Amino acid sequence: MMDKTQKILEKFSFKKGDFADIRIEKGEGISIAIQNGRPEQISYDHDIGVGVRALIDGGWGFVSIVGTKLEEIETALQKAIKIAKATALKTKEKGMITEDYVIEGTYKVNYKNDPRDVPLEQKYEIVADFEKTTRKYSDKIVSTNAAIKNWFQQEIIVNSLGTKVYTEYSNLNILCMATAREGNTMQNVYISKGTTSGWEEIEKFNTTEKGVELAKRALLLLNAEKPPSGKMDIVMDPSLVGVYVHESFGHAEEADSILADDSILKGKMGEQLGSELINIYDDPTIPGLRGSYCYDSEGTKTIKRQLVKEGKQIGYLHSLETAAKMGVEPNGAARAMNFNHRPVVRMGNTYIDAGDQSLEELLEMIKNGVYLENSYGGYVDTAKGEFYFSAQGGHLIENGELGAAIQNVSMSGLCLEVLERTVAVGKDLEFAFPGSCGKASQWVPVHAGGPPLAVKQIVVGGL
Amino acid sequence: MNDMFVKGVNLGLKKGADQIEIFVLEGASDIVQLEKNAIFASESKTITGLGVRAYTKKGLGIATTSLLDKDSIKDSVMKAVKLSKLSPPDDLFSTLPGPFTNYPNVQGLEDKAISDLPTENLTEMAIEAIDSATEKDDVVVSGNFKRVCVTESIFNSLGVDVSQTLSSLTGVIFAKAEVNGDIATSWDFQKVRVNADFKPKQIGKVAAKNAVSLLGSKKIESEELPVILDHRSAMDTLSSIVAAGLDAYEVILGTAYFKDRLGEEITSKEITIKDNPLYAGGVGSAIFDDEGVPHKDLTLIDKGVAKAYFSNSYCANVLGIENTANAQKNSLGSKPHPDLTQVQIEAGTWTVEEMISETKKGIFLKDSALEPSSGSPNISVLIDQGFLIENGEISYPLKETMVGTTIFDLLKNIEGVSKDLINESGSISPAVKLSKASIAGGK
Repeated sequence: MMDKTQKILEKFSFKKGDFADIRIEKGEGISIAIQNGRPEQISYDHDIGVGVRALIDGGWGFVSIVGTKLEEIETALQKAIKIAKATALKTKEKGMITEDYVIEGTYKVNYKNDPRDVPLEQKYEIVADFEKTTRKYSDKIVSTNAAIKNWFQQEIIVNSLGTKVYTEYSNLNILCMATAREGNTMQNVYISKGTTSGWEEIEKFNTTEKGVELAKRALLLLNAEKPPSGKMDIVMDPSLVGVYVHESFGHAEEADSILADDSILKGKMGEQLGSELINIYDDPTIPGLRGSYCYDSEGTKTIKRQLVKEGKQIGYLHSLETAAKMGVEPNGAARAMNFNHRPVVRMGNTYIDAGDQSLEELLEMIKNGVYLENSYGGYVDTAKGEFYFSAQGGHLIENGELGAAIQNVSMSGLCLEVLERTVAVGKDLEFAFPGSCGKASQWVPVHAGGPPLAVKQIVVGGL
Repeated sequence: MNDMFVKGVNLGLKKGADQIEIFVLEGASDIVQLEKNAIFASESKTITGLGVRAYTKKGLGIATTSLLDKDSIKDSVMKAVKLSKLSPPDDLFSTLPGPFTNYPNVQGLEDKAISDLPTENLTEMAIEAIDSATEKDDVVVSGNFKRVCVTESIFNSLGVDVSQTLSSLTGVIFAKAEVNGDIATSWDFQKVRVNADFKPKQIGKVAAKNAVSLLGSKKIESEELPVILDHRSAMDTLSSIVAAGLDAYEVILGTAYFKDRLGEEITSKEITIKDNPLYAGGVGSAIFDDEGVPHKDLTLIDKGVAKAYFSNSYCANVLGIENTANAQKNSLGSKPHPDLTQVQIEAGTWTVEEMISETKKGIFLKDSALEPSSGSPNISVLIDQGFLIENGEISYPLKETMVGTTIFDLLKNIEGVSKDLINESGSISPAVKLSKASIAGGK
């Protein structure tokens, strides 16, 4: 199929500066969900389609089609070229691509234990145990929702410069949500695990233990204090740190945001942004995490990227286009959700590197404040540099120790101020946030984490 | 084409399914992407695929595919039936809906001027919006303009065999204003089903003005203050509360805020909320829901009293209530769950000016939702489009400020509803004033 697709490109002549690529995707997966003891759904999803891009005279065109018929791919390419030409007439800032960057490669998923070979009944049993253990723990657990999903995807990426890549991607996720309720008080918590490795990771995940842990958390929060409100000193757990580094820094370090004048970090390359304790990386090459992959959706082999070194900004995330515009090497950060979307600059696995202090030392340093744990996600305005994210719960910090539990709460701040106000970095790095990142109407799997962080003077939005 | 899907339904029954449904989407979207005050890219995307839902002995199997050829339909039906036989029974399930003979006549769902709109015209609209945004204000804008035309068809083994074509035009502009390192961002958007209602220049102009108005934002101290929600904020806030509070599926799960509270006064007598998918030209309007059940309008809250749960066929059968035809699928592979279509909130007696002038100190929110967070009734939200009110006047924009309350306190604290309404293609809302909420300030 790769050679036949390449031949389609060869039928067209592209002058210097022009470009086209064709991305053929086939994906399939099974998901099982159980709610309150009932099977919610068992489903099989199957996606086949092609995304075609063309860059002509500096204008971009993108066309997607379902199926992989060669004559339809050729028609899609013709249409993409036509759209690109029309766009070029109206665009002021011309698109460009690194001309001498040609990749040939193959990546095949190498499972220890292929999730596709695990019988449906076995998968169902594991989800059922997770859900039942959580639900049966207490009558106050009014709702439970457990699910497992495995997805396997193959991509062929060819372009007019000669790139020819075959790559596979898979992910496997299990989660359970629980809601505890007493009258008008409700608290919702979840535990999830996401991996690009095989079924062995699910076997290591003890659903009975995790179900009990989840139920206990929900019940603790049900009787927890209302969170305080105002500006205070905080310690974030690795899950919150994951969302913080992803939202506050990762997005602002995406080179398309820099070029679009949409990032607070524009013009700050090489500048000291904050505490020298901070080192930030994005690394899709770490085996097994949700944001791990070998080739990005443009066929570029991805690498580990350091974004912040000892508080100084040193790197961006790049696609072929942003790298060309900034005169640097691409680093494999262009990802597309599926064939129906064009690749945009995205993160993989983003983290703050470990420091050397224990959690107890961090709490002692803060003395009185709030410990926030178990993220519920968040967002950032990269242009303004203001972020918001929420925690499933936490504790008051009283006299340097964890005190009373508090219910779910959100926090907000200015990205750069938070870096300046980071006073201590914990020593235990954990990729505690397996999530999905939304940008340009596309959701891609990511992982994020870090060690606990102690930060001064953050706004906590209590009730 | 429809014949293939009817044959698919029959194949499912032949293979042993008790009931089966095929949900089909066929269409396309054109998108013009904007970046840095210019056209950046143009896209033409497919919206095509089908989802099969099969039940055997109350076990459910779902299969989806992006392909609509005969073999793919057959494969998907066989997969769904196979999975339904492997699935344990859902004892609460009784039947798929149908058949139905009377469907409402909903006007303005497809405008040929949108379906046939040349991509060049979409590009011109986007340029008009950029020019309008940058004409008087020094802003950088991005965003997208999108045309969608899709035909949704549903076939089931009880005789449902319906089809509707929906077209829409959407424009979103994000604007960034910057003066001496002070950065403010904002946006505006329109989504319409009638081409003549689309005003791209206005989108650009409003987005730019909003961004400029937020320059010079300041931090405030934490305290309890009144909060005025502008029309869009009130719409987003109240519809998110009703969506989670009166959802019949959430009632079954035990997580609906207003479970067992129908007939009770849950908020101000000035609040009446309806869900109306029959409104001519409404962006949430449609002839039938995602199970093919004929749409109808529904009063959810009447003068402060909770009146009804909104449901789909599953929930209606489980709870023994009317099926309000609110089934919606999040994706081809998802089971349809109840969701709101098009919320319409009735007018009150205040003017927005009166709300502001009678507030000594408070917060004015623009286009911001005070949504419950993390699946609990707690609300803890960043104000990124808000202003401080001092002595009855809007004083300055805010930064690093959050609002905290609960949905129960929010509803209890509604003390004013505006008599002027916005009508954004069928979504109708007044502005609303809350007597108090907890404000966390960054000062």
